[in-house]
Amino acid sequence: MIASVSVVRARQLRLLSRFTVLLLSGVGLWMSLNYLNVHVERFEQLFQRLGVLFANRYYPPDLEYITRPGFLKSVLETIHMAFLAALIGLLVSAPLAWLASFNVSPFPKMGYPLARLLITTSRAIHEMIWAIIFVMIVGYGVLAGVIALTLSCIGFSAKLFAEEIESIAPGPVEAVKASGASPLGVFLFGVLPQVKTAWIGISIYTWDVVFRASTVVGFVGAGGMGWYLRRAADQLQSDRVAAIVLLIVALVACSELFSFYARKRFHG
Amino acid sequence: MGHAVNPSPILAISDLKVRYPGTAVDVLRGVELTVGKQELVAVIGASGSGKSTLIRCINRLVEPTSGTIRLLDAEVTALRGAALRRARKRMGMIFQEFNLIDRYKVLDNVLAGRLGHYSALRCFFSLYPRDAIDRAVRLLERVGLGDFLDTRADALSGGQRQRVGIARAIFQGPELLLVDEPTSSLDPRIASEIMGLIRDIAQEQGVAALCNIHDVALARRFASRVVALKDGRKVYDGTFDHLDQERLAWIYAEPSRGHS
Ligand SMILES: Nc1ncnc2c1ncn2[C@@H]1O[C@H](COP(=O)(O)OP(=O)(O)O)[C@@H](O)[C@H]1O
Ligand SMILES: [Mg+2]
Repeated sequence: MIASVSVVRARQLRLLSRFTVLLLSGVGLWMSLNYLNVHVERFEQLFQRLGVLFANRYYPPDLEYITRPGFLKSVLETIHMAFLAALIGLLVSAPLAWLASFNVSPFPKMGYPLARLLITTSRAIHEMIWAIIFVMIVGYGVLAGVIALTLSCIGFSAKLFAEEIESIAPGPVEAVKASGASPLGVFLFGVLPQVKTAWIGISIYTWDVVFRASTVVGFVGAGGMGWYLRRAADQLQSDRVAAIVLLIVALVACSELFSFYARKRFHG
Repeated sequence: MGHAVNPSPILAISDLKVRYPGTAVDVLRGVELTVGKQELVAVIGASGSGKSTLIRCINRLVEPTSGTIRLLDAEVTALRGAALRRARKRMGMIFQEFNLIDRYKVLDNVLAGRLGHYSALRCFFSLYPRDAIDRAVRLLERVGLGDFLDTRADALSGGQRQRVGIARAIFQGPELLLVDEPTSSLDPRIASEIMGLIRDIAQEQGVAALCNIHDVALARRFASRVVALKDGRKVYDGTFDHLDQERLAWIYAEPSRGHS
């Protein structure tokens, strides 16, 4: 009897807390819309205007523009930037994640917090902001872009890598440790076999993210095709903007297709 | 009950105390233990009596709070870094859950037992010396897995996995085997096969072994000397002759903490 009363009470409390969350979300939505002065009734016109805009300004896209050698070179530049940044970023992420995992970090006292700090910082700052910062430090061009993309890659993949390490089974790690292996041996034989498959999946996913980012860092002058997008947008050449955006969509779709097959191959 | 003092013990533990960080009670409360060369010692005791803690202290997977652990000439409790790894190299460990590298082949699992001897990168690229590979193969044949060299470890049955664990520990070339409940995950028939294998192979290789088993009947069949732990204290050390039902019932009774 008494037990069932407390069970019912607990369920009532749960129901109440769910209602509270719902209510607070509603209130928050209303407050934000009000604060930002969003006039919901204008949404009706949005689609109408969008239609007109597409018909008159973005269509037809200036496809000739994206076949010009100068622009094509910037597309190649973009791909190379993304590849370099993803490669370096992943190579740095692997040892960094090892340092930043609480269960097997080889230097739990100093290395762990430092690695965590590095990952969190890379992550906290958006890749466009990194790009702005490094354009100011090393000047316009691909170098700033590669550094910015590398940092955003590290922030993304090192965190996911570390999370994988933190969920491994401790048994094999102990077995390797007990045989007198060095910290590197413990990592290569105790940790790596357990995270390898997941790490490959994460690496492919990271490539998608870095590649998408590489198409826009040029907006702030950090190399790649983003610069052309900005110029076209600034000069209100909507047909060119349309062509470039179409190309980005196509490239990202290709890259995701490639990732899809790579993932399938590795996961069997 | 007193065991004859071994003239040159391979392992000598004295006044060993362990308290896990963040807890309020000692799990081991002053354990004394010596193990002679080539001796097989069974450690029995109720679940939670501290058997695993004792074994894991000896190779410092668990940090002792106080006391000394001597492995021949080395004072294990004082070692750090490379010196600790050298001491660990001399102790092979066998686990209840086998703790193999699942994705690796059987042979590679055994070869990894030499990780303390060769550099990690050398092992990673599988550049083991020819005679080391021969020795690993012979050991696998000895434990009855000659046909499974290229099988992935996670494709084996429990008993086969433990055989790999035994081969790995022996391949390491230890002077002492630390064995923690090697048969608790196996069914009874396989369990006694595995215990027999551990006893025989330890004898052949001239290795001493300290083996946790909570199953007294099994311990009686394979060990000549038994050490009993109760609430973190050694309460028996000797042959099975003086270990009568009454005493066993007391050893396995509910823990009586707080009477220290
Ligand atoms: N990592 C740990 N942290 C805190 N307490 C532990 C830890 N491992 C074991 N214990 C405690 O130590 C006691 C002895 O455990 P253990 O050595 O595993 O005993 P046994 O192997 O005889 O069952 C138990 O009360 C257990 O709860
Ligand atoms: Mg145990």
